[in-house]
Amino acid sequence: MEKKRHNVWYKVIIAVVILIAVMAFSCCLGSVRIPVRDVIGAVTGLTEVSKATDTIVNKVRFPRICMAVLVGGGLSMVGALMQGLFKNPMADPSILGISSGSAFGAALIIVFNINFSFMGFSGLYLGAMGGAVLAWFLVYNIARISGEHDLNSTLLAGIAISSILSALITLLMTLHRESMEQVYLWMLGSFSSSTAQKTVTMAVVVAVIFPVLIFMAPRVDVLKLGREAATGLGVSASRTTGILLCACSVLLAFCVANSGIIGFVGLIIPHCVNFMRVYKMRGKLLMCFLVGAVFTLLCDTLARTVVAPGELAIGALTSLIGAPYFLYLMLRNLLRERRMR
Amino acid sequence: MNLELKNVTRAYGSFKALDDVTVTIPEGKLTVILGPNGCGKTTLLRHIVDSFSSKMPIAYVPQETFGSLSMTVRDVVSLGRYDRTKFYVRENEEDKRLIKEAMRDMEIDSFSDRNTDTLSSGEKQRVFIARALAQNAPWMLLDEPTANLDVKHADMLMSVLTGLKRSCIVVLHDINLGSLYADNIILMKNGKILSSGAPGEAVNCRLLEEAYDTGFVSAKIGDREVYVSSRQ
Amino acid sequence: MSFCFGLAAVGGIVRKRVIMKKVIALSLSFVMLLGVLASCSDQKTEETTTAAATTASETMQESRAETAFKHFYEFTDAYGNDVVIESEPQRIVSVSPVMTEIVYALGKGDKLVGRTIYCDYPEEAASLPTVGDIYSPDIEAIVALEPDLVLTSSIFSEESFNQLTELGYNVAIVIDEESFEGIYDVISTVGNIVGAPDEAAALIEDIKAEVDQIVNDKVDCDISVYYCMGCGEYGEYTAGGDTFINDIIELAGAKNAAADAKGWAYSLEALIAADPDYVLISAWAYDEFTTSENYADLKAVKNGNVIIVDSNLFERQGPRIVEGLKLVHELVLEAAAEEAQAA
Repeated sequence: MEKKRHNVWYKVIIAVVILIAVMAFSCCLGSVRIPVRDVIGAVTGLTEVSKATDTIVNKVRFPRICMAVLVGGGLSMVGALMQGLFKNPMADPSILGISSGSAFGAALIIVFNINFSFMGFSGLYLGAMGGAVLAWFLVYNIARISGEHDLNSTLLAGIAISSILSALITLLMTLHRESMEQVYLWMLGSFSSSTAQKTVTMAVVVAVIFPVLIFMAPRVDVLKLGREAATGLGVSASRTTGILLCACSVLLAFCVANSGIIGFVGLIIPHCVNFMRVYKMRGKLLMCFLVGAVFTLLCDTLARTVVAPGELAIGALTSLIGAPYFLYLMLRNLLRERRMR
Repeated sequence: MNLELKNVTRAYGSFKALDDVTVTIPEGKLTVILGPNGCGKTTLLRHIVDSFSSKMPIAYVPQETFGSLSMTVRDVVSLGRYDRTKFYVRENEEDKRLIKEAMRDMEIDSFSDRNTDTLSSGEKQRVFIARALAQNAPWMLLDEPTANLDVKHADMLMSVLTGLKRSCIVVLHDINLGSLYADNIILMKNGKILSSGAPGEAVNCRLLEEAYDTGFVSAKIGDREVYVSSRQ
Repeated sequence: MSFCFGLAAVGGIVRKRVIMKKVIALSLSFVMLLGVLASCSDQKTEETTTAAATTASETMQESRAETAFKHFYEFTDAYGNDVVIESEPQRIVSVSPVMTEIVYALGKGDKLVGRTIYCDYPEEAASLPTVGDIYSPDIEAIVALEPDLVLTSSIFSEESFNQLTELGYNVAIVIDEESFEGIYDVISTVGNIVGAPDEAAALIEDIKAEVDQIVNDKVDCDISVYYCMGCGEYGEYTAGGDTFINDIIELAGAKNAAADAKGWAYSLEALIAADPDYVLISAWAYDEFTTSENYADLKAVKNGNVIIVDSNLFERQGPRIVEGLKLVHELVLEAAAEEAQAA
């Protein structure tokens, strides 16, 4: 038992170290070649660097790197919670309907060319948030019609609202073909519009929601025993589910508003963490955040360097890179189990 | 403290799962609930959990769990200690002892590191029962715990429960297993209580025939009354 | 105010007290965060709005002279932002092919330090480093070029605009109007921005002269022209009656076959009904149009009057738009000559 405890923290520390290393590594890469000592100089402020270098490293790359870390980590945590709450290994963040809501809001803004800015947040960002709020409002209240929070109803409502909104988005796109490319590109996801302001906002959101999720995490494990069994242990299924879904919705709304829809991360990272044999939800959430952050950051760095000054759609990259690696992990796991039997 | 249920009615739409049920379940005793499918046994247990869990901890073992848990056996059993450890308290010696004993009693300690998703239904059931044992709560409610267990493990479970000297309520299908171990039997049909009391009083051929709508014959083996269904 | 409203609404939905507390805590921190951010970004907008207030009433001429002391040039861009340019730009990144063309036409090509991958005219532009595409260019590349002005047209994404302005760069989005006359405003504004107002005025005069010449060269011939922007599987796309391409066709003396349409979308049925005399099309769509069954019955296809044109002459609102005008006018003259012969 002692050994098990140490194992989780061991893995967490390794993951943190890897994350910091990848962040530093990503700072040095970009569409503009900047020698490593200049990068270090810009970050630490010890040596004199040109204004352009300083701006690029500190105000263009660094916020983007942080955003990729936060969004990747956030999506993975939400994915882990969805799989835990719904006890379904195929669950991912999109079942809440929030991603579709965000996409719908963004599509409206793009298609009708609504230009406005509020406190430095673009109309697109606010539209995506608005759409997410709308979708969550609908799903949440439909699920609560029976009185208390029902997982099944949430799932079904989420799927239904998702479908409706996706259909509306498709309609919008076909009726306004000239905007179709823009809407589609937004949906594919990108961190290119990360500014310091957005990143700070995201960091605050994660800082607020993260403790909530971690605190409620052991209850998710208890809920797996069944509603009555959990009640007997003092865990209210309705309340726990309600709070967690709300928290996840807020986190997810911000993730999608900042980066579009990055689909693969929320589904697969929790499984990768499972293969690392971290099973209980508290440690799993932590590891999911770290692993998801590293993975998303790597993908984003690739996306913005491989065809510079152009960019690859990160949603495609995460699937292309993630799926084969996931298959490798799965096969390794299966073979190991075969040997054990 | 006895569990008192007075005039409890639970309906799902127009279907009455529990119809004006009044019964007292004595504490410290092993109570077995018998009855045909759909007579309200599970609903009765659920009602007890919902009504009384705020007053005291109850260890409940459901008939079946769905979905993928993706946790090891020991992790699941250790969930039984959640009431005390919650989020921030580490497992202490007593927690570990209870978990170990629970796993030993249910004979699952040989595969305590396996993922529960890979277990057979009988093994899974024993894991959940062990979890309830580890909880060490004054009341234990088990809904058809022997459904997937083989004869040996079913018998083992019942003797473990008897040895606990705690208040237990167990729903069973096996009439003879129940009458052998129970201190108290409740026989139900169609959401109503047909009879309740000591095994000798609550169970006899006539009552069983009324409950199950099929013939019963009884025989005495040793000092036990054994009931077998016979079609009429 | 709205926060209280929201809280009341939330209170109505949420009944359990513990959840209420958590919701309040979350909302409070969210509102505090917004407040912090608002106070940070308020400063920037204040500066530009006061600058706008002081010069709003002046005409462009006056402001040019006076602001030589305060700032170089100031105008309102496509998003309604007031843009203040402190001094004459020396390093310009153009994120729009139109802007690239205009800057070179004004003789200030030497000030350009960057372009998009689509800026292909004039040839000198090819020597400039690229910064990506028109909608969302690569911010790093732009920053590396150390520009003092980013010049673009209104197709620029709001996200990119916010990013660049947040980093402290001047971004000038010069308004695109959907009419032919809009081009004069565009050239004039760009001229003021890059410090070539006289060249701009001269260029505008030249263009106007050429346009007048064409317009006055009235020929008594009624031909309908269809400008094909997209055809085949993707649907029919053309220039509707409210676009500037429509104006080009009409100024040249022809009729726009799709004048009844608004915007850029059209339908195959309407095209067949309109049955234009001439079809102007890009090279990549030519094969599709001339070989596909859909268009085989059009008289333009039958008579071989489907003409390949450089779409940049029509779709870029720059000085080369006159070439497009001339092209259509030649068609009109040709048709008139044929008619005269036939008669």
